[in-house]
Amino acid sequence: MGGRVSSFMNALYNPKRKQFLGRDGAGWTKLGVFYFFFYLGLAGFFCAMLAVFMALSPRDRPRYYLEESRMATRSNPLSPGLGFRPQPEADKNLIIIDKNARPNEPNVYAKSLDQYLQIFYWKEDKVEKAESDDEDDDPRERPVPTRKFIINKPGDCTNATQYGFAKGKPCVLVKMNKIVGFKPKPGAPDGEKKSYISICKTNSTAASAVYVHCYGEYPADEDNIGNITYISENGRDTKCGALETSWFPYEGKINREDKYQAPYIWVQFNSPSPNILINVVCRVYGQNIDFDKKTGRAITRFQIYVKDLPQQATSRLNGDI
Amino acid sequence: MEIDDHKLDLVDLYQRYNTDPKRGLSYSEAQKAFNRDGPNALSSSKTKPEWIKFCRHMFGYFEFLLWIGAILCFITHGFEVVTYHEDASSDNLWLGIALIVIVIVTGSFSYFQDAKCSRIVDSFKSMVPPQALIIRDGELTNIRTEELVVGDIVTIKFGDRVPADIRILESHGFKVDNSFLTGESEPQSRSPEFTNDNVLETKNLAFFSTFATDGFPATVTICLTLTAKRLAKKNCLVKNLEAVETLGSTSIICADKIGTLTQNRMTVAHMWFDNQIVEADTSEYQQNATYNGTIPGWLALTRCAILCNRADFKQDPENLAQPVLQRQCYGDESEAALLKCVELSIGNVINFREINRKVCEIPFNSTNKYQVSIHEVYTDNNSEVDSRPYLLVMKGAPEHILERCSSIYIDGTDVEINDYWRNAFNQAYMKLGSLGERVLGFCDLRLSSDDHPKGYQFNEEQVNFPLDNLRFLGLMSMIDPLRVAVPEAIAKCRSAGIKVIMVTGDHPITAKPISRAAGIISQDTETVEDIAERAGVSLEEVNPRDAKACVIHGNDLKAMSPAEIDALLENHPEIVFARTSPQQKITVVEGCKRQGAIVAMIGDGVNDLPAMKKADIGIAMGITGSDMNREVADMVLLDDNFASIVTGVEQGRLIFDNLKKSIAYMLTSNIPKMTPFLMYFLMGIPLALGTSTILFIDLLTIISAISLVYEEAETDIMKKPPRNPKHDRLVNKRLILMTHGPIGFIQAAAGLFTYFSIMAENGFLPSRLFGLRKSWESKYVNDLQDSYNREWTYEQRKQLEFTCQSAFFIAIVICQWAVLIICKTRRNSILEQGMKNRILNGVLIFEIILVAIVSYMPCLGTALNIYPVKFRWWLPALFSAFLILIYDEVRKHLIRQHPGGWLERQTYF
Repeated sequence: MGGRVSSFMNALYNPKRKQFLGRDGAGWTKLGVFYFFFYLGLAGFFCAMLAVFMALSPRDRPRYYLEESRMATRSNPLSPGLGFRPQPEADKNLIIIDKNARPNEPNVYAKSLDQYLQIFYWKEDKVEKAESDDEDDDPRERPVPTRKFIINKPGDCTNATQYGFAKGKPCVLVKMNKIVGFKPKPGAPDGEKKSYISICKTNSTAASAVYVHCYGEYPADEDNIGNITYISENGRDTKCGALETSWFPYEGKINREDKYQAPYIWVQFNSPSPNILINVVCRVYGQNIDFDKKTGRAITRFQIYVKDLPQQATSRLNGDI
Repeated sequence: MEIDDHKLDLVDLYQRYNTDPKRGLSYSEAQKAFNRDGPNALSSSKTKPEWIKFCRHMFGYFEFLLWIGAILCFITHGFEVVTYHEDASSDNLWLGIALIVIVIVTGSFSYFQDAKCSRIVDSFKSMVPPQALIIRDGELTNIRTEELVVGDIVTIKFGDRVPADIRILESHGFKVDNSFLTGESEPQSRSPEFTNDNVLETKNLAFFSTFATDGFPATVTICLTLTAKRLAKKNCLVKNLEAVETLGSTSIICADKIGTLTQNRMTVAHMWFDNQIVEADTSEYQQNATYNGTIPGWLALTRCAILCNRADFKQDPENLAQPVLQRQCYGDESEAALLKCVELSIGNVINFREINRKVCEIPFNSTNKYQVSIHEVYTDNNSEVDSRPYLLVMKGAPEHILERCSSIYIDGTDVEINDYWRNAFNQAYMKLGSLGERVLGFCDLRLSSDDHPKGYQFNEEQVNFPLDNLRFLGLMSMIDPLRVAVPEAIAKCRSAGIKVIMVTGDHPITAKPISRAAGIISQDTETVEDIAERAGVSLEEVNPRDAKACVIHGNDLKAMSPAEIDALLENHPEIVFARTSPQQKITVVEGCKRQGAIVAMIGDGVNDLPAMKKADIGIAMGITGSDMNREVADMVLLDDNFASIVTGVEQGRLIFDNLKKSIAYMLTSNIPKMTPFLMYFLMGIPLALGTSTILFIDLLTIISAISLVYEEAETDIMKKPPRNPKHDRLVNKRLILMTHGPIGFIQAAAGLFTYFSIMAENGFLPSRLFGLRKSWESKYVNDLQDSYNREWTYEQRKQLEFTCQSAFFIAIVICQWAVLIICKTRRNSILEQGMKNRILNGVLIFEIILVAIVSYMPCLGTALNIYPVKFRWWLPALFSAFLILIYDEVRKHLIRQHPGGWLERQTYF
């Protein structure tokens, strides 16, 4: 056993021949230099090629978009999904509403919404005057004023009321995925027109908007979900929220900057059952929007949980812990 | 069952089995007994049914893992179905099915391969059927041991396998190895006496020897079998598959002389008569005769050789139809040589013997050292017949024959022997002896009718005839000629860095000339004796270090310490061990092994057996070798052709080289397979290579690696020294560094470049990908932004990911294409090696077709998560493949340009 250990140690470092792992200093140096330059060359070449490739790539919209891109495949047609906010953590879709929290207490969800809106909707237009006397300027380089998306009557869904979270009537932001070049057509896919009309009470083709409807995923969720108010750009509704098609399509960045503001709606849950997990699905209807629950086309999923334990119960629970 | 055969009287025994000790069974009786008892073989142990063998391949270790994997996949799928109902993804279902398909395909493949291999191995076994020499109907015949029946009279000689359970009727110094029956390791002596009631103990029974053969391990590697098959075509039978590889790394071959290097067929080489040495003419039509065929001295010598000779041709027409030199003979080797010589030169030997009838004979024995026979003389001259009716002819050891002679027959007259003639005789005797030839002296005497009138009763017991004052006729010397291919084969071994040592029981004087002729001692090297003779000094004055060759006598070897033997082996590249006993042969083999050499021992006799067992690989001669030799050997040269060994070495080296190439090839895909996972975990980049694609790469890698086994040898295979088993392992540092270093990273670079490019073209620039893993993998993020602020659902970005993975997979497959080509050679340029390996070429085409099918066929792709990839994304990989080819060609070129240089030491695997 000792012999084995010593022979292993010897293989690791041989003091007699000053060899580490069977090679002496000079051997390692030579080998090191060889591989250093080899890998340096390889990495340099790799990066150079990648840099050339990047330089040749279009700046404002990807080389492949719409059906050309991998968003669509033979079996999966191009169709936008929906997104929801607040989503403070990427790997969770649970929204917890604590009814007993004090109103001025910081709320992670409200903060998340603040951040989101700040990043995408509170953009300042560049002051045109600063560069306007430079006539040689490529007109494309000139800043384009942003068309700002504003919801006229947000109601509870503002920063002031922590987007309804303080009241136990949370507002959830629902938006449609930005897809370069994609313009949704109002209405519903063939075969779903009837149910669409009954759900949203709107006649399809005439409208200038695509509509979003949220519902409980399973029957139990339907029972618990309660009243919903959809607050859209131009009004409130209890059936569906509207995304005006005039905002579409998204045309990519402009001079590498994202000037675009995507429309969204607020979905306010007025009376969700407390202390029970509610699975919510929101779906957008459009003639050219393919719906597939499994692959997440035209929908988004999230869960709401309203915590409403009586004060005593909470403290007792705390005591136990 | 009670056995009393050993207790019976022999006469009763003969009666019981209806046999006769002299005539044996009759054919009809033997046939009857055979029909009654069946073949003389152990009922073979139950062979495993085929379906169990099949299952073994289906549920081996690796296969078992895959089954578990598949079952887990199905269980997961089951849970998904229960949880999500119709929403459940079918990925796991497909993966499970793919796994099962892979298990079944690979399992069946290895089952059929194995079945094929064992068929080949079985056919090997039947190539050397054990035979028995028996007496049937009064004739000696060879039959296969299975055909023996109860009552057959069997003859057994030294080294034979006991062909059945036998009762001993007659024996001389008979010993058997009973170790497998009783565990006694010492040979047990056996004799006709009944000594014990116990059948195992009694001396008059010997038992069918079945050496416990384990058979081959269940997983016979394909390549070993392939090589064994290839060798079998060249009459080189591999009994132990590992032996092929051992032979490839052999660094010392110890060869027995007689029957191995030489033909074991004595031939008359020289004659001395009329005070001159002439070369014997052994050509078929006597066109090479250097002497006059009517010289009386020669005629007298040949007459003596004809008459004083008990050898005879086997009298079956088939044998007699053959050329004289190839005919089989009864009798002693030397006598057969004489017989063939005189049959060629004089002819009609048998007829001549019949005319000159033998009336009396004293056969050769070791005390007399001569053989005498007396014949009635037949000539045309009646008066001569009347005056001297009998001729006495004698042959034997020359010095003993000369002692008995008073005159010598020179140029047709009898001359009295004086010192001059003794001196002449001695010179001739020495000369012939130094050629390594076996010399016999001949003399005769015409007996006068005065003492021995016609009808005289000669009596060999009382020796009522003179054995002195005979007339010396001359000498004939015989040699066991070298096998034709031996010198060439030994030269090839030399150039392949293999030392050939002769280990023989022969006298040094005989061994040395043969070893020179064979090239074991090459023409320009000298032994101590040669130097002493050349310089005219005594042996003690010669520095032993000056002599590169040496001839060691067995007695000297006995006196040497192991250290001295080591020094001897180390300092002399050319060694002949003469007069060695079996024990000393072991000493030699052990000495060689102490040097770290892989030793092969080639022999044909029982005296070589212990050394063959001791050596790393024992090689037996198929025709001249004894049963035991063939039994013990790892390899049998069926046609006794020494040159087959060179082929064996070459094939052994080839197998090692090819395995190395296969392994190198398999290892190269490790880095490109690992990189995506490392980047996934360390940099949070979405996975660039999925599990199903890795599975595919592994499958293709295995198939391709097997094709390398069929690769032809490189040109230098027999020009480089044998590998050092201590330092040059199958998988060594250089191989690992080489495959994981440059080649691996070029492949990984190709894959990653393709991956990043596809991601970028679809909106995810490399900068966006770093650290994206958590959001990318989250099913709850249905709106992941790319670099252009497009938003992707989970399914959409998975489609993108799988496309990238497919491209990465295709990139690796294309690079592996190039790697497969570069792995064909280790030193040669691929241009020199060529693309002659059809299986490998087939694999190259198959791979591309398979990849295209998998990637572009609609249903298959979805099932395996492999998506179509635009052709432009094949290009970076094609470029990298080209780069790999160039890189390795340059490396090999530099290695060839600077043999032993830094690059060779660091990268030649």
